[in-house]
Amino acid sequence: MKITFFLLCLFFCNLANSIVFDSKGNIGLGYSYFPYDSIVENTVSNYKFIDSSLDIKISNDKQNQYLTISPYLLRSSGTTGNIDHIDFRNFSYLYSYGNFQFEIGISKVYWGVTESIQVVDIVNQIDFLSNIDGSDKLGQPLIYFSIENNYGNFETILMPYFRERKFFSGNERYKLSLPSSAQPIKVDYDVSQYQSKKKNRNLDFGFKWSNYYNDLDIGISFFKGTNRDPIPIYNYLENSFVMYYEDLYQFGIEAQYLVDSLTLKLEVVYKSLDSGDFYESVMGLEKTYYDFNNWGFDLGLLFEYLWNDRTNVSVTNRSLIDQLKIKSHTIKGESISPYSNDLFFGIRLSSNDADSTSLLTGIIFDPKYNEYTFSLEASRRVGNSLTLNSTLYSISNASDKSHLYSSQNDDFLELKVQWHF
Amino acid sequence: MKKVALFYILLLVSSLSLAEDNLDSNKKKGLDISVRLKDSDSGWVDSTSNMQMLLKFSNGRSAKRDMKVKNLEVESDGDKSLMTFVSPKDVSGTSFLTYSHVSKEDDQWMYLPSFKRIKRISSKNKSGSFMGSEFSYEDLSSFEVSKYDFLYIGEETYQKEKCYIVESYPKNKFSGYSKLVSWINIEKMRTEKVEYYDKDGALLKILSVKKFSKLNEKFWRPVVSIMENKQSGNVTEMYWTNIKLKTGLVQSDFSKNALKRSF
Repeated sequence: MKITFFLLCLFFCNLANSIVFDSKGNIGLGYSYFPYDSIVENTVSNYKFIDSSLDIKISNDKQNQYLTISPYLLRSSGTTGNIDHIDFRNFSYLYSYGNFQFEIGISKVYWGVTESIQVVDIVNQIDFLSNIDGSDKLGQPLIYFSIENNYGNFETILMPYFRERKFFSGNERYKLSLPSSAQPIKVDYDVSQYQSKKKNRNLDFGFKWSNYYNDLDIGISFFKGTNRDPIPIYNYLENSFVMYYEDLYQFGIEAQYLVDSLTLKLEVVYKSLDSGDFYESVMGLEKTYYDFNNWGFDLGLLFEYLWNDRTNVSVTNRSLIDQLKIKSHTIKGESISPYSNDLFFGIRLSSNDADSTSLLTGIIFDPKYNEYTFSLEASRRVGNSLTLNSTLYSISNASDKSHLYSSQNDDFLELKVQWHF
Repeated sequence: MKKVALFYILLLVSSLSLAEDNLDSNKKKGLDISVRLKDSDSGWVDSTSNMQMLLKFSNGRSAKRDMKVKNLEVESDGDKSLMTFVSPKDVSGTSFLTYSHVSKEDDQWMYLPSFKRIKRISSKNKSGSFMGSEFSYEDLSSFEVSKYDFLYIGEETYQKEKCYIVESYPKNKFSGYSKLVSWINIEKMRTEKVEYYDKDGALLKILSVKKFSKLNEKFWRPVVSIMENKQSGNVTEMYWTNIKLKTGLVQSDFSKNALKRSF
């Protein structure tokens, strides 16, 4: 509340004599259908939902100060878990002066170039409840500075407050379980643990330099702060998961190179954590055939290789171990983190007509363990303000070691009508 | 007999070289006119405007596109432009930032507001349709003399205005055209009409400007243009409103940070 007041004050105190008001938004009505019975009891086989996002932007007539307010809301009928939520994707004041930009409030910062997963992207927490594929992000409280000149774009981000990752619960699908178990385990958010003594109020720091040289775009980034990915630790006293968030140092490189209609992409990060250091990378290409065969649509073929060398997670945090009355928490093995040696194939179709019909389908495939994640998203405009969206999502039998073991029958089809205003 | 043959050969050679001279002078005249056209339209510094496209398809359907457009004149290189969609509402805020270049490929980025993601995109997709319209990316990019070879064809009265007819041959191999034929108003130095020929040499599209507006007492800007696709029968009408020149935009209004502010 104090922050809201501060932002409003900052904005209106600085305001010139006239303001420009801009707004847009959408409301979607959707239906999710799970064709297979879950191996977990008491789960939904379908549900209806409504989601809505609104973007309000107020700027001064010089267009160098902006107040942006973007709430997102998701409500479903028939589910008893965490799906229903509201999040401010944006609630920030932005000031720009020449090539300098300053933003304070809740906002989003996107890093990375690849399609299947983004290993460099770290600023915003994943919002699984809105989109299981992890592409939706929660708004992050931050202070952002950037200077853009001939030497590139220099971004500095201070993040004073950390946002936890939320998981499905109640009768919802995709709940976490112990490996090889059909028994879902609830996540106890009240006792989430942090390596940092300041818990979720640690001041996280991010920096990125990026520039382009002819057809090469390159970025180098650094992050020091709370890891966005928690380690779920089983608390056998309470039969619950305690989420443990470690301190993370991350160095990242992203690059993209255009050769005619071929794009080469690369992301590499080095992550340093108490539980173990590791490298993670995605590299690949996208080839686009404009107006393929004169059929009136562009065809994009995507191929990426996903790799990481994380082979063990070892939590030795004394206070955590004492509290949970466990000896230690160690997981070893090749498949402890997903995408350790995976291939991604994708197809993107986009029509050049009035309906902007588009389709993106992809499969991430682990040849060694025969595991895959398949998704297909299609959308089409109807008239000037309606869109029809459909999503098909499927994961193969999750490995015995995975916390998604109980989700192996959670393939789904989602249909959504969206009205844009 | 031999003498006669020699005479004819000599005559043929000299007339060939005459034609050659003529061709060279018409190339030079075509280039001169194009340079004058470019020069007469320089000095506007920057501009802001709203653009509306009305897409009319031969099957009777139609659709509307609204955009905010900012342009910046860049000395000794191509112009910079920032285009932001206003409608259709589902793509509202999606923006394109283009740095045109005189001597190399344009640089182009696309901004997706829901992800706050900036994507570098290939500028090789010149012939692709711009948002389903009959205008291609190539048609909307800034006119640079160095991107074409020119040939002066003649003069003709078009819509009661005396015009030069000049053919332009795109140098870029990714262009969707084999040639453009332009009707350039001699007195007002503005392009009234363009015929676009596809790679096979067949007439593809005709652009005609129906209405101009004179800004800052010097610069002619099209206000209503119509692009007819002669092969598909589709038509796109383009309307420009609120055109303002010298609004005080600077380089940093065409940066990637500016792209993120474009909403």
